[in-house]
Amino acid sequence: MSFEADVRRPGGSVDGQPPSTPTQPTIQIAGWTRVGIFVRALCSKPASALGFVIFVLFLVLAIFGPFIAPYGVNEQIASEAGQPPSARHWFGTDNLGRDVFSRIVLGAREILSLAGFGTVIAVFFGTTLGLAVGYIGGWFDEILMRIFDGLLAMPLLLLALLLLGTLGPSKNSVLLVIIIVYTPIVSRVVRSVVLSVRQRGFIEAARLRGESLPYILFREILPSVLPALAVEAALRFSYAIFLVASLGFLGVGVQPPSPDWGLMVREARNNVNQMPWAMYYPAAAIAVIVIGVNLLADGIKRVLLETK
Amino acid sequence: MDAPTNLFDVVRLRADRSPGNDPRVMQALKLGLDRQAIYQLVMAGFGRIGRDSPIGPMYAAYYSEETPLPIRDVEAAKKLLAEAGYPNGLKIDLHTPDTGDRPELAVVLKNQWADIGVDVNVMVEPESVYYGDNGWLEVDLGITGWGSRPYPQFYLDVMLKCNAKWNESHFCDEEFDQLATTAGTTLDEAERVAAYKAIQKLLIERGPIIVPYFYTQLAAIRSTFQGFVLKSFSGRSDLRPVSFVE
Repeated sequence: MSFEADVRRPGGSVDGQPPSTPTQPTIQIAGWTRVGIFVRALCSKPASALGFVIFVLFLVLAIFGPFIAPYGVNEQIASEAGQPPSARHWFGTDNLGRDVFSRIVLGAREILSLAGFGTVIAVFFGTTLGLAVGYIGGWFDEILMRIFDGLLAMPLLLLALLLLGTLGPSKNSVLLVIIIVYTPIVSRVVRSVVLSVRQRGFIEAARLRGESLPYILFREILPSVLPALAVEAALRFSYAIFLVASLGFLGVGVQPPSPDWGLMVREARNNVNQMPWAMYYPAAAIAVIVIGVNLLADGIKRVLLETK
Repeated sequence: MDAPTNLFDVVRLRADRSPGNDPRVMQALKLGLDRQAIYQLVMAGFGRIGRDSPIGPMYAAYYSEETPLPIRDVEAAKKLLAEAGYPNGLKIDLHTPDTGDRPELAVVLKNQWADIGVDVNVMVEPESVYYGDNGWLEVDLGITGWGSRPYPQFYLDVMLKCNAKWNESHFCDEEFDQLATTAGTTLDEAERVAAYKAIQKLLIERGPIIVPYFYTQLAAIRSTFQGFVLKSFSGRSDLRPVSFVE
């Protein structure tokens, strides 16, 4: 995640001080050192350390999955269908003779990339809109926030189902759904922080200097928003994983034979009495990654508060 | 215990427009299948392997195994596709309802057809979507479940004749229509059997459908009972002759 480096930017306005401008001399600490300091602070508590380890583990699976998985994602071995976990198939095989372990490993990339990209784009739009409505205010704020209220009034999963029913199930639709569902939530969080800093002196000073609107929004206000945004983004990410898996389970998300974990649970459901392993392992994978990312989000929040 | 049924899934390709209007495409798809593997994976060895016609083994004398099914031949299938104008393979959506074993069948088909260069995009839909607005009659490639009927004529009249109401593959073949009419109207049983056999041969050779398997009706009964006979339509099994074993 890239935001931690910015949060700790020397001279940043986290504490309400005027932020650095490009002409000001600042003490530069190399990027990796800052990441190192952050990770060390994060891992000082066992729960956060566990969350970090789980996240990194799944990240490794997502990146190097094809080198780790012993079988192909849709490799069907008819003679070995429905086998329980063994040395040959660590998590057993499903009713179509596919290796469950390989499918979980290879599914990590799909679920993390869908949830990850969705979150990043939703955070980008949410931040931009939140900054703009919070700072500009007035009718613009009223209209946009009422639209968002309308969106948020609907239960999240119902809204997602409605959108997917209209768009038709596909990877792109799922991505779009994450963006549409999470942009209002992120923008509300950002807006609330903006409302608390827009009256501060340094914003007025920037306005008197004649700075442009984008400059004020992104250089003056954004640094104050970053801590809250970092926590919100991490939380959104964990919910996005859950949403992708839920939609897969309901059969309206990514389509078979994709190794989406939610979809794997759905497909294995019919045979749960004969081959429970085909259902329990992907379900466990969803639970572990969601808990891990939640612990990580808590850790990020704690470190940012301590820093403050 | 189990009883044979004529419940089956139809994989059908629209025959009235590209790519299905070239019969070589359907032949290539048939050549791309390993039927035994499909039967083992999707049916787990229950039921019967289908023969690309709705006339199943349950219809006893009407059913025929005279015409051999195409045996999997990846190279021949690729060659046929190339001749039909798809030397680099074919990309096609496969629509299927989310019920029964149809999504599993779709996944197995995708895998087997990948070897002959057909890139299948599986679209699993709720039945309300698949059948809603008669979408199932529109799509090019789809899997439809057909229920078991007491006699085979129904399928021919409703699914495969020109302008039949549920002719989902938009198949229209003069010879087929004549045979189906004969089978449905003749009073001579031998003539009817001959017509049904000719229809099965015709469908294997140039029909628009793949019937990979017939489902079986399964039931279990304790050994303390006797006299239970399971019918193909499970709800119609007669319980009156059932009695306790002394």
